[in-house]
Amino acid sequence: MTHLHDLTAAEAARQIRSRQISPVDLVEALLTRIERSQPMLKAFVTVDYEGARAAARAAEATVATGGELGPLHGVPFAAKDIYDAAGLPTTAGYRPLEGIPARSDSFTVARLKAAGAILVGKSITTQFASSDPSPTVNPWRADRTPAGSSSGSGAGVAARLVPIALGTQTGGSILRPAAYNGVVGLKPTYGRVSRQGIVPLSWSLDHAGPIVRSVEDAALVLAVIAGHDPADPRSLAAEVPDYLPAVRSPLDRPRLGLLVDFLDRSEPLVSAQLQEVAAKASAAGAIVREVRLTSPVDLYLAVHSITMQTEAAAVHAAWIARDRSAYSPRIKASAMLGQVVPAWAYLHAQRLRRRLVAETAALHADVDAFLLPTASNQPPGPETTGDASFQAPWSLLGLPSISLPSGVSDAGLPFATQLVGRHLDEPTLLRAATWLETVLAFDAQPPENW
Amino acid sequence: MTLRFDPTQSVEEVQAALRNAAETAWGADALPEIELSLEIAARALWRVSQEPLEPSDVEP
Repeated sequence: MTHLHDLTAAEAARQIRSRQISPVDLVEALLTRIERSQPMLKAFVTVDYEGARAAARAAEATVATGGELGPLHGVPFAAKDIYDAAGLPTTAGYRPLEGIPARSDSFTVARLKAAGAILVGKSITTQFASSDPSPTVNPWRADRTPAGSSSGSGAGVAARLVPIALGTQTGGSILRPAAYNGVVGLKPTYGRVSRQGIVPLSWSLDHAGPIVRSVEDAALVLAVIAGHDPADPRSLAAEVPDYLPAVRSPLDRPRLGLLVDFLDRSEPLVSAQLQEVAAKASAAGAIVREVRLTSPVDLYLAVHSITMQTEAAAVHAAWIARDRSAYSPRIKASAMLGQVVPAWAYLHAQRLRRRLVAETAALHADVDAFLLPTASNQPPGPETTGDASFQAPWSLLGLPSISLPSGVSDAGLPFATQLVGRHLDEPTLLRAATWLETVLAFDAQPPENW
Repeated sequence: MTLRFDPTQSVEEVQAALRNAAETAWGADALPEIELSLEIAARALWRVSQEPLEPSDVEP
């Protein structure tokens, strides 16, 4: 029998709809796990016991009375603590923001609630979603980082505390926590999901997206949160396709472009594992061919770095000027130094960014998705949030990317494989990811030693 | 050593120029707070300056 906490979001939604399980029981089971895990894992900053229980009772009543049920009716979720959720503080890991409740829901939280999902709390973020490590612990091994900045979201989904957690990515903060915690992370196309009500780090790089445990769940959540929002000036007006058929009809023979530039930059274990994945995919019918980027990876990273640093400096300029004592060291250094980066450098970086977008789109024309490791390494120690260099290029270009768990090393740490899709082509990306998920058949879980 | 666009400067020269600019902006006492980002920022500035663009090339 599957435990309630092991259910994916899609499974839970189906079983609630068919009255096999109760939303009250599900929420209670997860709240118990959150409470029990918290001293060790520290995945949550705020748990809304009262609100979640009330929402669960209401959800159960709606099922009992035959009311209209949304696609995530009764399914619990967590929101990274830079998303506003009415009545709960949004601290962004910054002490001066503690204890100040948000007045309304962010666009994304509101969409999830409207779809019937139940917010159980706010998951821990690194400060301002930057690179200073958070206190959250990796459930696979306590001496390794859960990554960041969506550290509580990644650890919480992996430890079966929630089936869905919202994350954000400016460099690699959805995909890397998903990778280091052995779960699925989806970063949609830039502008596909509204950033309204989310504390910004870098306007032109910030993305919102889910961390979940299956590609089906990624599609299910994306279907709920995607769409135009006039309150976000970068929100795209493009029509939102139905993402669920994509996961029900995986590609027959996905064409995967193996990005060898990244294999060259991977640790040997990671490179070997990705080549195993590529071999498995080929044996199962994928057309895998090697692709080299037109420009070197370090140019993507330099353009990303200048963009993020200068935009973060502008975001934080007033607060840094007023009082920088509560800022963590890395975000403070970056925001202070970003103020002296010359204007020509930012604009030059944006010109190069446009060139990189065009170059990469040309390489994408003949493949359904790029294939590469999600991270260059397995989770390192907790003094860092890990290496963003394999995720940041796709944040820079705004391309959709997804991370799938693809194995476990002898050290008991997860490996992850990344697919990168074309602009706004999440359906093809999800079809390729569904196909690869089946081929990989990953079913490992972290130990439950808390 | 300056922070102007100059592809002939080394990473070290860019880093020294960036440190000078930071000291001017924030004061010498604040330099330890900035040190964590200095090398990465200097390397990024140096790297993009190795990619000259013509005036009629892409817009930002």
